[in-house]
Amino acid sequence: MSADVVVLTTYSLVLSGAAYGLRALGRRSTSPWSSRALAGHLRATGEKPEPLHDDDWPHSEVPRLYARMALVAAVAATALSIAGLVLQDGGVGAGLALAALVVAALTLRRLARAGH
Amino acid sequence: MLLSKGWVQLSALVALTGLFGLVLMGWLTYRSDPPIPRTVVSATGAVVFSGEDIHAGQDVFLKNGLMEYGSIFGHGAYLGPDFTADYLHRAATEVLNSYGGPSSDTAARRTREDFRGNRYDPATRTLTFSAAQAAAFPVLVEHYAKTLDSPDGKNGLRPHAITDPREFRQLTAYFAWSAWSSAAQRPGKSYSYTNNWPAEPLVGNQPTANIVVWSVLSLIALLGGTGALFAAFGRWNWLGWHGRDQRELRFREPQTVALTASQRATAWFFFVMAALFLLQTLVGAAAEHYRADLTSFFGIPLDRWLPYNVVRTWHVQLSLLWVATSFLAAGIFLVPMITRKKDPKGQGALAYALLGALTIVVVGSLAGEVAGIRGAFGGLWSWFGMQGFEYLDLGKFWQVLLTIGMVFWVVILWRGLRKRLASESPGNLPWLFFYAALALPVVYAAGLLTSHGDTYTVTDFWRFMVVHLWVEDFLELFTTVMVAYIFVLLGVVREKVALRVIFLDIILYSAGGVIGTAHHWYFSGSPASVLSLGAFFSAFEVIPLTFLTIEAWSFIRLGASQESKSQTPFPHRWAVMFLVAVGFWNFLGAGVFGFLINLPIVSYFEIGTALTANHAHTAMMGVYGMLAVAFALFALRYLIPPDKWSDKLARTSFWSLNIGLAWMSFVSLMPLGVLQLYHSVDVSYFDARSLAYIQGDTSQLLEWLRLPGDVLFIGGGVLPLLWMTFQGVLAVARHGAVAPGDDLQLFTEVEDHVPAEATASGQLT
Repeated sequence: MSADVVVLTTYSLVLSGAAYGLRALGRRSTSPWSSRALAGHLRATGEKPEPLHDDDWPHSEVPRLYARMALVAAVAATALSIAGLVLQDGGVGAGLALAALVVAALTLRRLARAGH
Repeated sequence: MLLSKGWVQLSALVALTGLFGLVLMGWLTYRSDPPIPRTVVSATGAVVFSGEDIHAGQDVFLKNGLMEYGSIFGHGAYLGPDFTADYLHRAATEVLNSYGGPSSDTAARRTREDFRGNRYDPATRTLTFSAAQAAAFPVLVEHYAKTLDSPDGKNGLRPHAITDPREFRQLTAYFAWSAWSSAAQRPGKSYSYTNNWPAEPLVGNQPTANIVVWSVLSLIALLGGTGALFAAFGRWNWLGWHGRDQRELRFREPQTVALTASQRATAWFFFVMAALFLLQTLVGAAAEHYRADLTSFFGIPLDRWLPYNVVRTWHVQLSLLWVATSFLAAGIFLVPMITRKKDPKGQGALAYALLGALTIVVVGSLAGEVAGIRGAFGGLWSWFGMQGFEYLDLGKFWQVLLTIGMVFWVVILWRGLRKRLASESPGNLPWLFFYAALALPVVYAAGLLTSHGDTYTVTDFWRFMVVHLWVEDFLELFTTVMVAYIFVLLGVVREKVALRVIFLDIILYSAGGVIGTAHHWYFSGSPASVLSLGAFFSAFEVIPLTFLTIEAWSFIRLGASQESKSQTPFPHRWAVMFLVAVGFWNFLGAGVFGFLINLPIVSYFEIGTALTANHAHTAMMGVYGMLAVAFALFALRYLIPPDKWSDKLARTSFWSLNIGLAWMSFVSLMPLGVLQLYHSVDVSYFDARSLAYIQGDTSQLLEWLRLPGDVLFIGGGVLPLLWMTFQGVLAVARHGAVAPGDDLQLFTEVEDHVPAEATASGQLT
């Protein structure tokens, strides 16, 4: 089995996993209050800020930001798994490349169904 | 002064220590570079070549733009071979065959002894080659003649790129000298002048103890330093970016903000910037096409007019020039906002004069490079033609003019700031803005000390004053100051917070970046002590970059805080989004991808492969490119009338540039680089850098996979930006000038609920 095919298909699987992760992150609120655990050291106010509206910028951009990053990762995973299929020389390599392509395609379908 | 003197003293101390380290390394480099012999003779005493041949060969290499085709000592372009590794491998193979071939242990031992033995006599400055090494030389002359005088090109160079037999001999002498210094042991040491680089089993070149040990210590420095900085941020929670809590902001409509003549002139700067950006991406696409298909450009014999070394030279030079154009314009645009005063008399005319001078330098240097490669200018080739050092390709004349242009720019800033500076403490923001601007021509001028007459090792020391110190440190400082000042002007952060961020930046970059410059000199002939300093201190460079992941979110939150209480929409959404992209790519492209290739043990096998290109693109475009666009959008928001301004175009450009860059990196350059690195370790560095490897099936497929991202980058990213800057130019004539007696009003008005706080633009009451 070609080392190139192993690298490309493994990398494709990593990108598919990253796409899933990014999609999940994009669904989480980015309001300063609810994400305080991450930004606590930047703010020392005890008052709860005003609630966010969905169209408050830049929070309105955040789901789009993650969705597009996830989409790029999923499309890249698809392209690289196809590259693995083109370069494979049969046997395990072909199976691995095909598996990576299926995972990437499922990721893409899931993103598309979610409306991104 | 808003901050205590301790900040200034600590910053000065760290910066001076860094500069001392740099001077020390310069001294070590001058003292320990590989000698150029007066004569190279064979064991029988016959002259093989002379020191003059080596010097002349370096000239042939530079003026023909071969450093923008292949590389020497690992530095240069990535299409052609690394000529040091190439000569070393081919000569060692010749020697091995002459002793009995690869199956003979005696032949292998004698080959290693021939190359590792240092038979240079400093008293007579004579280097003695073994008979087999001397016999390999004419064979290699013939090989390079055949490659460079190829009648049908098809190797990235134009057909018959070099035709003079004397020049083939000189060029081969230069390669032979570089190969000798990469294998012959330093006097009293068990490794070569280049710390045993490149890896070449035939001559026994393998990583030294220094390379392994300092790689490990470099990792420890990164871990320890990152932990220490996290601890400092935990202990002192006022470090980093902070929003202003007790305040209300009101934004004026952009069209109500009066612009001065010099600010209006920047519309032309940004238009030129976008045009240069477009040209840079087009020649970059052509350079990439050579890697994907060497035979022709979709049926057009591009190599006859624009061979790889020309388009690559332009691509590299324009990357600096278009970004610099935006930075110059942003500085000019910001000055009246800082001073809140009208321009001094003639400021607008001076800005236009600067743009004219810049245009002359750009056109002159680009034309000079292509003419120089074709043999124009005779003995003045290094002044007006192709000086030939990667990133300092432009002729020395144009280099001097560019330096003068930057000094002229500082004078323009000084005229605008003069009265404000007179009333400010030298440790406050206006002065820091001026210092950061002043440092740009001063540090760039150090690059003037590169000379084609010096040994490569010495001249590379000066080259990296521009490539690393100027680009990676002082542009980074200017960037921090500009971003900090814009946030202060927007009313988002207090001047005190901005000052802390800037001084912390100076401390962190001076601690790592200045001495860390040496990570470029691991294998170019500097001594092992320079390698160890470079490995250890360059790890510190990554530490502040890891914090940019937090900073990117801080930018978003600062932008969000702008939005909440004003009835007028925040005008700089897309400028802020580009700043977020700067944070993202600074962490990923400069930090992660930079550190990926920074350890000496990785660099030993990796230098000059696609992983270097991956770091270069994601750091240069990702950080400075995105920042240059952010500056442009910031200014264009005032230059373009509301009915012509398009958020949609800004959004399209943002997403296309970022997705295109991500595609380039994740789909093409990174997998290509990882596979090439693996091949370099597994097979050989020589083979991983050969045209045969680059033309292999896997490499070709990954190169072609880059196409969709590049099309999106240019079509969806650069073209909308060009259109927006064109709108800015059209609008300049119609835009309201400052009426007599007008006080310049800022775009942001701040009302604080806390007494004695900033009122506007960071000025304390």
